[in-house]
Amino acid sequence: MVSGVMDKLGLVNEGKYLATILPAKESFLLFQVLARKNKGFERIDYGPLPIQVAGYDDGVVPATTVVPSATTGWKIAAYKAVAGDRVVGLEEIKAEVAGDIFYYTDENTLFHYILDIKPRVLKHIVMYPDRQPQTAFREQTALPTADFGVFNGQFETVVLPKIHVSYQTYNPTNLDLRTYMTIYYAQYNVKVVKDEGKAREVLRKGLAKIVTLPYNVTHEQVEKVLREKYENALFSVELLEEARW
Amino acid sequence: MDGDLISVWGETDGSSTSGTFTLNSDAFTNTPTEIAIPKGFKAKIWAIEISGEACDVSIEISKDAGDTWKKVKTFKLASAGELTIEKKSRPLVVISETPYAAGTTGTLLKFTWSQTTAAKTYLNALIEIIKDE
Repeated sequence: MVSGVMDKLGLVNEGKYLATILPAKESFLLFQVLARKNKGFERIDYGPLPIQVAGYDDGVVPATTVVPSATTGWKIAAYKAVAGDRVVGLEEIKAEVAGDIFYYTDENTLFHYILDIKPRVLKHIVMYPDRQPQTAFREQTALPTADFGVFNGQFETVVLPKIHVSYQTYNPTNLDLRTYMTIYYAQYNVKVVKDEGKAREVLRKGLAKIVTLPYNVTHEQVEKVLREKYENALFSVELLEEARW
Repeated sequence: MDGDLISVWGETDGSSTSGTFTLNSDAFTNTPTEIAIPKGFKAKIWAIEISGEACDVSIEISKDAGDTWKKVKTFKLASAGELTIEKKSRPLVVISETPYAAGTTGTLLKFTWSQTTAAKTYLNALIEIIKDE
């Protein structure tokens, strides 16, 4: 990858490209970034995680507990369970995205973010889409309590349209831990590259940042998005042979 | 990966000549007497402050969820006053190889006190919990 493709945060600069690999499809999508709507303002001081366990302060993950529950995930909501307005300034956000601020429907938009969750001892799994765990060792799906398939601290991903991404968190200590999340994000206006020759040229010249999505298990919601939003835009990962990483 | 710096504090009860500090912190909301180090992480103790009346403060670790403890270091506040120990380059390190499950498995860390005469002494410690990479 040539210099200038991304900034110091790892977000893609205007005019450059973002390739998102979908491992379950052995394919990737290639986007050209036409604009970064929040350039220079990438940080959201989100605050405590959007979880509320009865009997605990807002955002506290109790010792040896999976939150929000063993069967549900937390989304990056504008509101919090108790405080109601802790992401200051997002009080008036549209109702349809208040529960997941990175949810959108327009294929000309793309959200790319890096979460930084403290304390870093907390273990998290990603569900892409919501309720679909995506990491495993061989056929064994990772739970947030597992010694594999989890992340601590930072996590980078790209959100496709009409997809809710969620997370489960496990506290492996005996401490009821307070939490804090900072988000670094880019809201791109994008053009989807559908021409294979163009894709080859972009990859050969090293003009694309490559991000592998947490999509190892196919899910109908994602498949539907690929059919409806990105028809004829999926390239085989074999094309990446020519990519300069 | 950076670690989590946690400041903990506690005090003797003023009526017992020995005991285990109950720990408080702004990083957690409960008041444990020990800290479980998650599997794959290590605790680095960077600084300890002891103030108040004369007191021996020890760091003890357990590798079996608290069944047995080993005293790894003792700091002595010989007379009333304040003692500050900073381990700027060589902190005391405790590595955890097992997951924590209350009463079953896990590496634990605690601070204990011993005094000739029971009196009030205060403890403040700066602990980093960081991935063992």
